[in-house]
Amino acid sequence: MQVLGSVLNGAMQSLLANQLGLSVASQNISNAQTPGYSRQRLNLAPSSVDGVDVIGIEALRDQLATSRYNQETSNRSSQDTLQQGLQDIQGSFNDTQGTGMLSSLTTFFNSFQALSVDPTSLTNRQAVKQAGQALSSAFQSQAANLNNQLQTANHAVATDVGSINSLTSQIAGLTKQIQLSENVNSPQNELRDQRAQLVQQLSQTVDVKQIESNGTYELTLGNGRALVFNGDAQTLSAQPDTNGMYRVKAGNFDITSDIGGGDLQGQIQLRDQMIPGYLNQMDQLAYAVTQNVNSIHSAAYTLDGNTGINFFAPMAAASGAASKISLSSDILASTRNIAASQNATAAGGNTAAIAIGNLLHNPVFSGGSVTDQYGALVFNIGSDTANAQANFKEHDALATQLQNRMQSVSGVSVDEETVKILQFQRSFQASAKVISTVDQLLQTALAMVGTVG
Amino acid sequence: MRITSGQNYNDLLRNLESIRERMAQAQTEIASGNKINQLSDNPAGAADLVRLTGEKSEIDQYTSNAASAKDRLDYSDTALGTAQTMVLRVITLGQLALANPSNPGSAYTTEINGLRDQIVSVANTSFQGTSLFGGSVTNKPPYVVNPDQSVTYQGNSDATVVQTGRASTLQTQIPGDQVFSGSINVFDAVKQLSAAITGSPGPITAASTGADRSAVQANIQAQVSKLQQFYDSLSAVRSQVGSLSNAAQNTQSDLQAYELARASDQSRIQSADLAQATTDFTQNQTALQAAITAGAKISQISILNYL
Repeated sequence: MQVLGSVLNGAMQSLLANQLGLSVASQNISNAQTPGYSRQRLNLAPSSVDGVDVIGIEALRDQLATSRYNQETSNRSSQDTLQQGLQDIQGSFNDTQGTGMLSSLTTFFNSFQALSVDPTSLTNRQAVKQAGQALSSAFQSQAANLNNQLQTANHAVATDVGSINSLTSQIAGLTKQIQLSENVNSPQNELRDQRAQLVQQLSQTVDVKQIESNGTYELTLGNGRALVFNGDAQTLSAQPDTNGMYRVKAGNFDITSDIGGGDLQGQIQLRDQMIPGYLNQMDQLAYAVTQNVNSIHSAAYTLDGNTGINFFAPMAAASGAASKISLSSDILASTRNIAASQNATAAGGNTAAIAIGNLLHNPVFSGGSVTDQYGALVFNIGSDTANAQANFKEHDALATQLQNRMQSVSGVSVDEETVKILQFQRSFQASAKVISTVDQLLQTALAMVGTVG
Repeated sequence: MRITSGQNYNDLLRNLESIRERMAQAQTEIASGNKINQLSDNPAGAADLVRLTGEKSEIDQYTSNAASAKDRLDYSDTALGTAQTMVLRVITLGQLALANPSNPGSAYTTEINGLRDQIVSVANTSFQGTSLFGGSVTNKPPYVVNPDQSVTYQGNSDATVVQTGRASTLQTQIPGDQVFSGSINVFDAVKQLSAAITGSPGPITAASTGADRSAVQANIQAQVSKLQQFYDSLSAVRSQVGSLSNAAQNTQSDLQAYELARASDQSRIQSADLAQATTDFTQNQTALQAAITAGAKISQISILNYL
């Protein structure tokens, strides 16, 4: 009898285990499309006493793939931000679509060549003035456009810091819950999935690493600065510097330059490197045009024989030149003040007009002429954009590969779960059969007792 | 590797996305006819286009400069031709005066004086509002006639040029002090001729002595030959103007050739290879159809169909 009782117990264990197995499979199938869900597995072991023991329900994750995926998510996101920002910028320097500055530049210098044909013509002088105004406003509007992009990136830095704070506080909250309620018998797989999902989301904004050992959980920036330690989150702040540029701070430490990935890094790179670089090139160009034109113009003679008149309002330094360039008040007052002649008494002299016109192709920079310099700017913007696009594609491909690897371990296969359901169903049926068989055996034994009795 | 349905769908989506992106790229190329639609499509090419477009606009300007120069030179040539005709008539009149000493001097001098005024006005010719023969003083007439009938040059000696290439210039005018009032001042010569015909020792009459006669004739002869020299120098100036006008013409054709070369460079960098783009498009279209079909098939395969 002792044996039959033990068999009955074992079959009972098996019934329960198989039911649990069915419930795990059902949970997996239900969450097959849930983002961030890791498939679960029922771990069983033969019981030392009777039947089968449930060891636990384990969530399957590839930690290495996950942390590398988060890394690549940061890289991809930072390049994506760059490529999108640069895409907007390159659109406004596309001379083949008529948006660049080339035609303003060439029209301006060519208008001086046209003036040289007949320096006394007021029509030609008007054309020079208008070309000068068009060039000034082209510089100004391109510079304003770049400055707008800069401000957009700057605001995005502040927004990103806000979303980092919101995510880290959620992550800290989940960690607290996990640490309070988790024990060996009841792993908090769902909470962990949620946390992993939040970390993945955070990776899009900034590069992070997570370390979990011996019950402590730590989430740090790529450079090691802690963002979350167990249940506590370190709040970052975005504080404007004297130029209104937001600096990312942890407490009093400026960590702006430590940000190594994510949208935040892309925005910082746009704001602190890319756009200021282009603005600087524009400023150099505007300054060189102003200085060179003025130096010839102020030495030449106007229609009325005056000299010492600037064409552009003079500027002290290159910084901000593209935003400030404008015609001098003398030129705005009268086109007779345009100086084309080398000679006070010869209104038809054109040497100065030719010299200014020739600035279009004469080297005024170490790098070459005005058009060369502008071409270099166009090349820089184009190649920066192309690089960002290529980098984005590369990191995107890597991230996809890693995502596939994570999916391969953690993803739910409906086919697999269906097969498991069949398995558990059959096991359940078999265990039930064992119980009914034992029952029959017991009945037989009891009947024997009656007959003997 | 364990493959889940989630992976299948992710892959399918990604593939469709990248194929559609390539199709969009090919379509933009076909529709715009341009290989470079954004700077990032080919940054070096875009920079080259900036250079070529800049050079083209320069060439356009040089062409227009050369055309204006030619107009101006041709107009100068016409004016110089008119001046030559007038000078010739003055010479003829001088010679007539020599040959017919008995005629009163006024028979010639009236016409000669009139011709002189006309030569002044030819020398003051302006083209599109600017004087042709004043050097770089183009806003006033080069020659003014003073009350004593002497003529003053108020221009200068600048031979104005315009730019017709990065390193080449073309002279557009010849200053008057190299034409009318150079080594021979035509106005003075004509005035002196007129004076010689009517002047001291008075008109030649039947009573004039041989000595008087020969002194006056020598005087007239001197002015006539001076004017003949001037006529020759005017021919030389005209041939100079003619060769400048030719140069302007040649420059224009050269510039057109340069511009054509730039345009073909531009097109080499910029124009889409339509055959290539269309092939790309079709290839991607086929790939898209295949991917969609495969995706649809794979989602139909499930163990549930067999249970």
